[in-house]
Amino acid sequence: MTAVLVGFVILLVLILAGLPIAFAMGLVGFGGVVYILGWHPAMAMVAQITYETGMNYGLSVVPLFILMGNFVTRAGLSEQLYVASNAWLGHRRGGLAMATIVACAGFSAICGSSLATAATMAKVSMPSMRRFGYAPSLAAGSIAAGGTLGILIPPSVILVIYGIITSSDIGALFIAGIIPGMLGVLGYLAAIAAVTAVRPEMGPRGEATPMRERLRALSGVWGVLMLFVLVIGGIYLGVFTPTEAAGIGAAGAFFFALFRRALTLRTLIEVLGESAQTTAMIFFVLFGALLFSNFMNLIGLPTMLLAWVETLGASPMLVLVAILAIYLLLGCLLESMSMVLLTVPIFYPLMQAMGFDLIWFGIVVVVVTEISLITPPVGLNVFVLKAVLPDTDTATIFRGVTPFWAADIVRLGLIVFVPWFSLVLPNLMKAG
Amino acid sequence: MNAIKPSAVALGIRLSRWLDRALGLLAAVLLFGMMVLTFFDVIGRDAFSRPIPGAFEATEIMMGILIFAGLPLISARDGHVSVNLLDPLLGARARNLQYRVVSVVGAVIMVVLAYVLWDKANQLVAYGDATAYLHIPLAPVARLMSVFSAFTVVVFIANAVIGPRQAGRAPG
Amino acid sequence: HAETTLRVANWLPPTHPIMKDMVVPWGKMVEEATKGKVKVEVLPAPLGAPPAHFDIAKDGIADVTYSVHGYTPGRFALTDVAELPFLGNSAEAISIAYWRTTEKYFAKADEHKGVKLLSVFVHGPGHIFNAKRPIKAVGDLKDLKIRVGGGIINDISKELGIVPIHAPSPKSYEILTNGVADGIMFPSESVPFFKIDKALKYMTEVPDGLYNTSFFLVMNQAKFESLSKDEQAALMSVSGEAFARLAGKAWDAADAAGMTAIKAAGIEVSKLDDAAMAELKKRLAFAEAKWLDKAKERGVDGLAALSYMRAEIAKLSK
Ligand code: NA
Ligand code: NA
Repeated sequence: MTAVLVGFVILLVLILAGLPIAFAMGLVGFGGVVYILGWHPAMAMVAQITYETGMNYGLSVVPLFILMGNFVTRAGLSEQLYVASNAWLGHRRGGLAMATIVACAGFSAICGSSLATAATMAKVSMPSMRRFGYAPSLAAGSIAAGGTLGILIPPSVILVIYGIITSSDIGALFIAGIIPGMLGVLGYLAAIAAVTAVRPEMGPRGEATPMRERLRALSGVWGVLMLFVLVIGGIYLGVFTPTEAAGIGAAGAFFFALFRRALTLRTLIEVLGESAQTTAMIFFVLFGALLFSNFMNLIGLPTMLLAWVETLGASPMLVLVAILAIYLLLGCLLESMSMVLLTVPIFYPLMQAMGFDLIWFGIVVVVVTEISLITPPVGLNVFVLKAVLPDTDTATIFRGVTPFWAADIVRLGLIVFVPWFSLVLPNLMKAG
Repeated sequence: MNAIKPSAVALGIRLSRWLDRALGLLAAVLLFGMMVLTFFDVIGRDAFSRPIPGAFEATEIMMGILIFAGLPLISARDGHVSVNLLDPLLGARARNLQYRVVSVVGAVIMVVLAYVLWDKANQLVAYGDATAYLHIPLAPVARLMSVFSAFTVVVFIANAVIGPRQAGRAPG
Repeated sequence: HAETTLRVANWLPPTHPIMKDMVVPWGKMVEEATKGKVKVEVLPAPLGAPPAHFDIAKDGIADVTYSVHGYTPGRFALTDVAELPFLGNSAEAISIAYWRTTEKYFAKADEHKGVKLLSVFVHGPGHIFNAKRPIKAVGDLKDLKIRVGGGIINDISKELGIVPIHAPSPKSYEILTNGVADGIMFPSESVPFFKIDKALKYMTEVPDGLYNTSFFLVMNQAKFESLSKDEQAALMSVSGEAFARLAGKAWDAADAAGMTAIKAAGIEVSKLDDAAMAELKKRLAFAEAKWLDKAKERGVDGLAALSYMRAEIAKLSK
C-alpha cells in the first residue's frame, strides 16, 4: 500500500512540476516496475507496451475519428452549425449562448474530442456573443461547457479507450452516450435560461431570423447530419464496426471537404499531419497510463481494493459514490484522458465484481470526467478557451461555468441512479 | 554556443526543417492510406463480398509507424498535454529553467524508448515474427519506431538548448 | 528455503475454461504438490495483449503465462503439428499425445527457448458455423466470409475459397451480428462462451476436427531455476502431461456443454458425410506436407513425429 501511495504522490508532483502527463505516468510506472521486478522486465515491458499498443487494430478508430473531425472543421462546418442554431435560437433571451450549446452538440457528433470542440466553437461563437454584449463569463462558460459534450456524444476518443481497457463493445458505448448527451444539452440550455431569467443583461436577445432564412441556414448543416447518421446509424444498425465507421466517416468527411473546395494538396497534408500529431500525443498518454496501470496491477492494487471493500462490507452504491468522489477530486488536478486512463484499469474490475454494467459505468465515468474538464482549479476546456480568448481571464471563465457545472451535477445524479438513460438504446440495438 | 559556426547552425536548422517536413509527409501518407484502406475494405466486403486481404494487418502496421512518426513532430511543437498549474507562480527565469529541465527529462525518456525498441526489433528478427496473412515481417516496424524515437531525442535536446518558444510560434 | 509465489499473467475472463478449469486448479495442484512452498497467484488484470504473453514470461514480467502459439506467426513452426486438420475428436487424447511428441521429438529444436515449457495442449476439434447456408459439400464453403484465428486455419481457408475475416475472438458477436462475417470456425465450447448462438444458424461438424489451436503454458526460466530440485520436480509432476490431461479433459467437458447449448439454441447441426470428407482430405493434404517441410527446416524428423503423435492419439482415444 505504501508503494501505491508513494507512486501516486510522485506522479502528482511530476505533473505539477510541468512534466507532460504521458511522461510522468510512464516514468512512475517504469520506476515502479523496476522497483518490483528489476530493470530487465521493466525495459521489456516498455517495449512491449509501445510496440503492441501502437499496432492495436481496435485503436485505429482514434486517428480516423480525429481525421474526420479535422476534415469537417476544415470544410467550415463549425461556422454553419453556429449560424443555423443561431437562426433558430438567437432571438431568445440568452439565445446566442444557447445556440453555442446546440452547435457544440452538433459539432460533437462528428468530433471525438472535447478540447477540439471547445477550441473550434470558441473561434466561431465568441465574436457574435461579444457583438451582442454578452457577459464574458456567460459567453465563455457556454463554450467551455458545450465543449464537454464532445466526449459523450459519439464518436468519442475516450469511450473508445474505455472500451479497449475494459473489453466492452465500443459500438454499444457510443450508442449509450446519445441520451446522456441530449440530457447534457437540455441541462445546459436550462442553465442559460435560468441565468438570463435572473440577470437578463448577461445575455441580451439577438436578431430574429425569418423562417425562410432559418430553413436555409438549416440546409447548410445537412452534411454534419448526414455524416452523423451514416457513422452512428451504421454502428447502431450493425452495418459497421466502430473501426469501419471511423474509416467511412473520415472518407465521407474527406469527400465533403473536397466537395466544398476546402482542400488543396497543401491543406490536405496539413490536416493529415495535424491529425497524426494529435494521434501521437494521445497514444503517448495511453502508453504512459498503461505502464502506470501495469505497475498498479503488479503491486496488486485491484485485489487490495476488492478485499478492502469486502472487509468494510460497503454496499455497491456506497462504493460507487466513493469512486465518484475520487473522480471529482482528481478532476481538480488532471485532464480527462489521463484521468480515464489512470483510474479505469483500477476501478473497473471492482465495478464488474460488484455486478455493475460496464457500458453504464463507462458513461458515468465520461460524465464525471466531463465535469472535471470545467472544475476549478484545473479544467482543461477552460485553459483551451483561455488560449483561444487571451483577453478573458481564467477566473471569469470559471465563474461563467458554475451554472453549467450545477446542471452537470444534476445530470450525473440522473445517470447514476437511472441507468435506463444510458442503457435503453444499446439494449434496443442488441435486440434488433 | 558561440563556438558553433553560424553556417553549422543554419545547416542544422535547414536539416531539421527538412526532417520535419519529411516526417509530416510520411505521417500524412500513412493516415490517408489507413482511411483509403478501411474505406475500400468495407465497400469491398459489403458490396462485393471481397474485403481487401490483410487490410487488418496493413492498418496495424501503418498506425504503429504513424504514431512514432508523429512523435518528433508533436514534441517539436510542445504539443504534449501537461498541467501548467504552477506557471502563473513562476517567474520568467524559473519558467525557462523548468522548460529546459522537462526537455532533458523528455530526451532521456526517448533514449530509453529508442533503445528498448531497437532491442525489440532484434528480438523480432530472431523470432522471425511476421503478420498472419500477408507474412509481412514485423522487425522493421519496431526498428522504425526506434529510429523515430531517436529523432525525438534530438528534438528534445534542441528544445532544451533553445529554451521555451514565444507563445504561438512553432518551428517548421 | 523460503516460500515462493508464482504470479500468473492472465488475459481471459475468470469464467473462461482456461482459467476456471485449467490454470486455477493447476495452481492449487502446485501448492499441494509442493506442500505449500510454492504458491500460485493469478494477476487481476492483463499485463499485455495475448500475443505478448510468451515474452511476458521470458522477460520475467510475470512468472507463468499461457497463450496461443499461432498468435505470433513465424515464431513457432513445430507446434503447428497440433493445428493440423483431422487429428481427432478428443482434446484430452490430442493434448497428451501432443505433449509426448513435444518431449520426444521437438525438445532438441527448443522452440520455446528462453522459458521453461510447462505444458502444451489443444482445444477440442474445430468446426464450421455460419448463418448463411448448410454446408453439405466442400464447394458450399466458397465465398463465405468466415472469421478465422491465426495459424494453419488461414491456409486452410485460402485453399477452400473462404473469405477470411480477421478479428479478435471477443469481437465475434459484433462481427457476426453486423454481417462483417457470415460465419466462424470454433470449437463447440466457444459458441455459448462468446454468446454467438443467436447469430448462427448452421453447424457443420467436421469429424476429427477441421483445425485445432495449439496453446502453451510456460514459466520464466530464472524463476524455475530459483526453485529447489524437489520443488521443480513437484511442479513438473502436475505440469507436462498431467496439465495436458487436465486441460484436454476440461476442453472436452466444455465442448460437450457447448454442444448442448448449440442444440438448445436451435442451430441446425449436420456432419460432413464420407464423400465430402474424402474431398476435404484431398484438398487439405497440403497442410501436412507444408508442416513436414517446416519440421525438416528445424532439423526434426517430421514424418516420425507425426506418425508417433497420430498413433498416440489413436491409442488414447480408445
Ligand atoms: Na463526439
Ligand atoms: Na478539473
